[in-house]
Amino acid sequence: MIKISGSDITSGSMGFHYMVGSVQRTTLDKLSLSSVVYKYATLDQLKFELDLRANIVDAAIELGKSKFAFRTFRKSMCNADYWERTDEGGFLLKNGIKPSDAIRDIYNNSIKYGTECATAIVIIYYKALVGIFSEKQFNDLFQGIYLMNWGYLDSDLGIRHYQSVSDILPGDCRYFKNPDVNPLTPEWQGENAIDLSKGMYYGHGIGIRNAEGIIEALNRRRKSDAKESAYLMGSATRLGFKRLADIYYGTSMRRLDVDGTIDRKHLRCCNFL
Amino acid sequence: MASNTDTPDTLDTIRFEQGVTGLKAFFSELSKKDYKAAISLVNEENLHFGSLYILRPEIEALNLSDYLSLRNKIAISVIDEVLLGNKGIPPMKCSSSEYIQTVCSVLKWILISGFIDDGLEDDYDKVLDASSALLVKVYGDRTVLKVMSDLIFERNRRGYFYNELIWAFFESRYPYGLILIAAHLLSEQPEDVRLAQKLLGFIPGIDTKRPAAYERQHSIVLNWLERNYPYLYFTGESFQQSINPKPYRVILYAKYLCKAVSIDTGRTIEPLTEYEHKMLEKFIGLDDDIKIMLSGYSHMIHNNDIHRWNTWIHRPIAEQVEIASLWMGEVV
Repeated sequence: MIKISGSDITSGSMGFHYMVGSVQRTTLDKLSLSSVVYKYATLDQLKFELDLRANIVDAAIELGKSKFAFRTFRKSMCNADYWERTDEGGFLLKNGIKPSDAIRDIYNNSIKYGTECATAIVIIYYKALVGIFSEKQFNDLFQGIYLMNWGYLDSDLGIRHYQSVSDILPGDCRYFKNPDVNPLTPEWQGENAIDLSKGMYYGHGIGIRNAEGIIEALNRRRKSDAKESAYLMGSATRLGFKRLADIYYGTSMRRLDVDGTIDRKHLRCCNFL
Repeated sequence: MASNTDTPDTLDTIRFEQGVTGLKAFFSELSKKDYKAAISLVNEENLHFGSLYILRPEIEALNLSDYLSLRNKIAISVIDEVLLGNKGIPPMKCSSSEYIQTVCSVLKWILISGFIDDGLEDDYDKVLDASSALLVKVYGDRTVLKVMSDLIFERNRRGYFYNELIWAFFESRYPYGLILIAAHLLSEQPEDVRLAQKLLGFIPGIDTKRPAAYERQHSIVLNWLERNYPYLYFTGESFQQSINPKPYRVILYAKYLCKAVSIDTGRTIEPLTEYEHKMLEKFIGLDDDIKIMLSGYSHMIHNNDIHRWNTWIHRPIAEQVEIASLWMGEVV
């Protein structure tokens, strides 16, 4: 059930805005039919989430079709025109480069990039946001991008990990766990994958598959005497949709440093988690 | 395979004094003059793994591999498998049990003697990480956790990659290993403290946003372990999976019944009695806050006064809650 400012909203009343089968419509239907009450302050907040989820799915499919490689952090690579590769294998936005240009370059020059699955998800999130925010808004908001794993996130993304959720929605990041992974290839301990809806997922390094396909790929990376299969967990990782919507519509002021810059020197310490 | 890693081997001494290039030049020259002397040096018991790793290309180029000691042959086969994916024939003829024990000793030698050269190059660090993972996950060796913990914090200070080491560390499924991390809460290095807070952030009371009170946070970790150790379940959550991984979870019903659980399954090790099953059903229906309070109280009086606990656990659950809430000073 959807409530906006305390009033019930049905899928039918909003559904005609979105094509049947679209990510927005699928999400809307799931929210409406759920036994859980999804509360939004405004209609814009809801529309923003629907559009952003659609963008996440599109960005995931686009990345899946690109030449963006799977590489471990030790062997990660990036376009040095836009990013500085750190000693731990992350990509730090170069000084003087527009964040939006740097994110787009990952897609435009995908052959120059390679990293692990968690980083790919963060890249997808940024690409989805580039498509929604104005260039100025995006670049003001995400000045100090550092792409690594879940340990380094811009707090403005508002990313949260939920141990379990009542409804799985398109654009959710799911986790396929591989408990019997080969100890020599810990990068396959699990796979972060974007729910593309219709039973399909994009997991970087595996591609666009259904759940069985991803599980099968992970099972091939188990230790030799493996007994336990990889499996899809009930958890979900989500962007802070409402927070981002409020920033987008200007109803929330983001706290910048006094001069509007980000201290890059202690990035590791400040942005970890 | 005990080795004295404190005393530098001849080749290690040359490397420390003349660097990698000097070592390679010395070894190549000596091999051409007297290969037996060169092999003897590389096979010395107190050689550091770093020197063998550096000389690997020379050893192969000079066709000296067959003359290597068993330790060195196994170490090179480990390197080849980790870096190249080569799964060669095990370089020894012995019983299965001897083989298993020898490989374990070699992996420990790689990690313990190789520790000081961490950062030599990415591939070298990868071999150290893989050896750690094999020791912890395959051999269940917990004696290396201290070295692994030191490596993690050292790499954090230098800005090097440590995620796989952290993963292997937690995969030990040994909650007391958390004490090694907690020790860094008392470090004078701010980056040590921050990392320790992040890794221990799943423990109630460890707050990454609190800039001080580190001694208190250290005590919180130790007390939490003391109160919950028998009831901890390893979830396997890591930073690849979650922004705030919770690698261990307290199984509250087990704490309430004071029954130890398997760290692997989270299920009680001993089967529950009929009465315990009955109490469990009632416990499951309680609110989460009440569960936490009741299990905390149960564990406390079980440790302090087993007779009192026996009387309490046989009372109706409503009375248990009343007694526990009065004692714990909670408003229920």
